[in-house]
Amino acid sequence: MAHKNFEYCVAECWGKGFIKLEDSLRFKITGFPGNVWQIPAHNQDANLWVYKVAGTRKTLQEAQAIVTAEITAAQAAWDALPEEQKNRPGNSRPTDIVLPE
Amino acid sequence: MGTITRGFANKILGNGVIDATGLSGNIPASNVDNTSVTNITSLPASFEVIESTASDPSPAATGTVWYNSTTAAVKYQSVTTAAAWASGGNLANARHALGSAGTQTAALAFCGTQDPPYLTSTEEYDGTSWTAGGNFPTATAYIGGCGTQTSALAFGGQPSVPPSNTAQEYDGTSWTAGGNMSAARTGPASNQSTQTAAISFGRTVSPRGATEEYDGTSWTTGGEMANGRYELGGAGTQTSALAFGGDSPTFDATEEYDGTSWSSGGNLPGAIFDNAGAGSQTAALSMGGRLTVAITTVSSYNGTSWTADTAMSNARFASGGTGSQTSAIVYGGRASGVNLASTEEFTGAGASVAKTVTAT
Repeated sequence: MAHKNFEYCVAECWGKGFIKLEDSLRFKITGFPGNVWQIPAHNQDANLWVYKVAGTRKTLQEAQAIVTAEITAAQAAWDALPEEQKNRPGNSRPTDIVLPE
Repeated sequence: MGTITRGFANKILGNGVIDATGLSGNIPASNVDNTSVTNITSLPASFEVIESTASDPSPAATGTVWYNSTTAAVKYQSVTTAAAWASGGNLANARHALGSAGTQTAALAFCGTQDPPYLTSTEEYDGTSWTAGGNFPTATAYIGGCGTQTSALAFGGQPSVPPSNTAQEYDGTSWTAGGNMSAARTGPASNQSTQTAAISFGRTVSPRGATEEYDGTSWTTGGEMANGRYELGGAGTQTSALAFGGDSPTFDATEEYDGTSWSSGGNLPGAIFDNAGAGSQTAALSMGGRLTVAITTVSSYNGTSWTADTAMSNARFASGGTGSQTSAIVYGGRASGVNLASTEEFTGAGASVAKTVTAT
């Protein structure tokens, strides 16, 4: 079995207290579209955090599918914009995201 | 002289005080000094050795120990050994290209865009959650800001075509018109200057390096940046400002302002724009931004050079950002085609924080 560096879950960020300072001091949490959160694999503190935020575990493939669906929807919305809005500063077309293993 | 036997402190009660009843202890004769004990005639039945409070004291000096009766926890004030981010309350209105001002525990978010619409709404942060403030008079995006939550200044921006040269002053409740800048500017940097001693730098049209200074009434022309740019990071004050990153072309250049002219500083690790800034000219943060896509990257400036700092949890560009190098906040922004409502709070290494004593 291939060694994996990350695990994934889905959890809605409710705001203050979702990621506490002590969480970030113990391990790294990275967010992606679709409320997908990446945490280090085989990390007890990270596992406790997933439990605390009532996260739903996702495999890499499941997490990737959620992120891709979000990006695809955002790209479709961008493609449907009038040219004037596409050309506004800060409104570039969303790019694909590939989640690392 | 023999030993002395007295009732003495022995246990910690539930409310954090020491109970002196019921037990006794022997003080060896060799430890007793007749002179020093002469005036001791009694001890209270119980007395506090650590303070019991319903909420954490603020500010608390490093080393202070207290008992929080609300959470039933013994806590102490320590310093962090590493920088870290925590989530804050979500904005009511997701947005990017917004204006920002204030501190981590008293921040201000105003205007911005959801592409479309452009927004007039203002939101105020109390360290936990955002609440609605007074609406901005005109829906505007790519706007600059400075000052505090109750004494902020907004300048420039793009309400429509053409961009704006106006400034608006916020008093914690409502916005009123201030003096107009000599020229319109879209995409100026928010920074840590004040409502009555403000600075605005960066704009989308030439000269892009133009700087203007505000005294609470009117704007005067300042020195021009060597690298004209917009949608850049900003920090510092009117007489000690910092410009870093920006478009167009995309810059890694940093410039320092002394109240008269700009001079070059250390370059960012890479060229970025739409990055948020916080801090001072000699202790700044660059947070997020983008080159092609939104990034989580954070860099710290020490007055000479930038070093990589702890990355945010969420990639974002064109976000709000304010605070200091050790206590900053970012909110809103955009990533992957989505406008963000989330807030993240930064605590730098060496910052004073409350920690809970845990039993093992």
